[in-house]
Amino acid sequence: MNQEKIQLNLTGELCPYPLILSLKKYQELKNDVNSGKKILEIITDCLSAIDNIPTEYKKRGFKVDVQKIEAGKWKIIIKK
Amino acid sequence: MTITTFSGFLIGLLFGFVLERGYFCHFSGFVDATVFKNYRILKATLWTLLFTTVGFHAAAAAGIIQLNPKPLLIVANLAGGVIFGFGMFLVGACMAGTTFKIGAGTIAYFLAAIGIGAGAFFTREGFLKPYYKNIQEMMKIEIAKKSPTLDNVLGANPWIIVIILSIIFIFLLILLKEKNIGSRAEKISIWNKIFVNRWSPLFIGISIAITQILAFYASTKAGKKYAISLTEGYSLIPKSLVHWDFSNSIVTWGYLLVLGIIAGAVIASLLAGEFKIKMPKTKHLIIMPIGGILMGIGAGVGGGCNVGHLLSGLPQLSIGSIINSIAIFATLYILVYFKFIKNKN
Repeated sequence: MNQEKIQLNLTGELCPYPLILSLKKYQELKNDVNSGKKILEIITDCLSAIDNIPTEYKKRGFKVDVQKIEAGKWKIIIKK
Repeated sequence: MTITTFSGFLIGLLFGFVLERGYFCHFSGFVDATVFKNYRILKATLWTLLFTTVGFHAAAAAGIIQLNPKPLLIVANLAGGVIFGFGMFLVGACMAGTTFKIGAGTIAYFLAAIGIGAGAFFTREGFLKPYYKNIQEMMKIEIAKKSPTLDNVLGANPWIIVIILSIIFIFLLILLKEKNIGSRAEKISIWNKIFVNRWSPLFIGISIAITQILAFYASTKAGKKYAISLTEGYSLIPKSLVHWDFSNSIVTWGYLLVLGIIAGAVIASLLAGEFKIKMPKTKHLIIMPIGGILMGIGAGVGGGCNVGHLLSGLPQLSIGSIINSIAIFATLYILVYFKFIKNKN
């Protein structure tokens, strides 16, 4: 299945907004992300986010992968 | 500068390192717990309070330190706590959080720190000083010329209170015990455990408690006689710049402590590969200094911030510190409720 990647660039946003804004985006795409049609990719340089975003989405039953793009910047991939 | 004063910088280095590795901020932790039921930082706080309360009393019993609980200034504690809570909400970090997040390279928190410095300086040394002095005297309560503490108010042996509090902390920790979500069984090297991965709540608690006892011992040698508190440093750093005076009465143990925390966080975030200079967004240019000023005034008026009152004051059983801490987090809860919880999906 060809999964469409939806990227959300939250660079510069500070705690707690990366998690709050990612959930807002998730609510918009809920059906497609839940069915596995779409993958949510979050770009963040907030150090709280690399802890609380994975925790929140794992709790919601997603597979979460945190990849380091460069020092102090990460891509968080959220999929079913 | 003497070596005893300089020890403030070294304790700061250690504290800043621990804070960054634990990513231990009471604002982040509060939002995580109340909005998202993520209890990592809350648990770290409970472990910290448990070990620090027992540690302080054990160290005092051994004659290593002498407890010095903060006074009970009902009006100042309540007003200071409410103002500080507002400021913390605007900045999005507590006093410790603001300080170590500067070290990780986020310029927005430096703007908040400038605000904190200005607020604390105005209150302690500037045009707000007369009001601050008046508020501090309102409903100031002493018991036999001593600061009221849970033990001297109840007329109980402090160890009984320590044991009761410990049981409460452990009970809450058991209550918050959760399944470890998505933990992997892979082997992690000691280096990675300490310098790369986020620390566990238990390890954060032990580390902060040890740092606190060292801080208490070292600051007593330097004439301050308290564990870690940031308000003094935050009011003295601007004073030294305004008067261009770096003499021993201004560059104190507490002054160097704040600088040490930033330096410690720089080292920790560099070793972890997390250090990055991050420029502020436009909204931060306004909200960070304003929130910072409120934090500085609140901490100045209330006689301490969330570190001086909750992490250092509660373990000494100071009633003033407990009231101030409640005022901070009750205010924060109301603001977080209306901003994030009420309309949560």
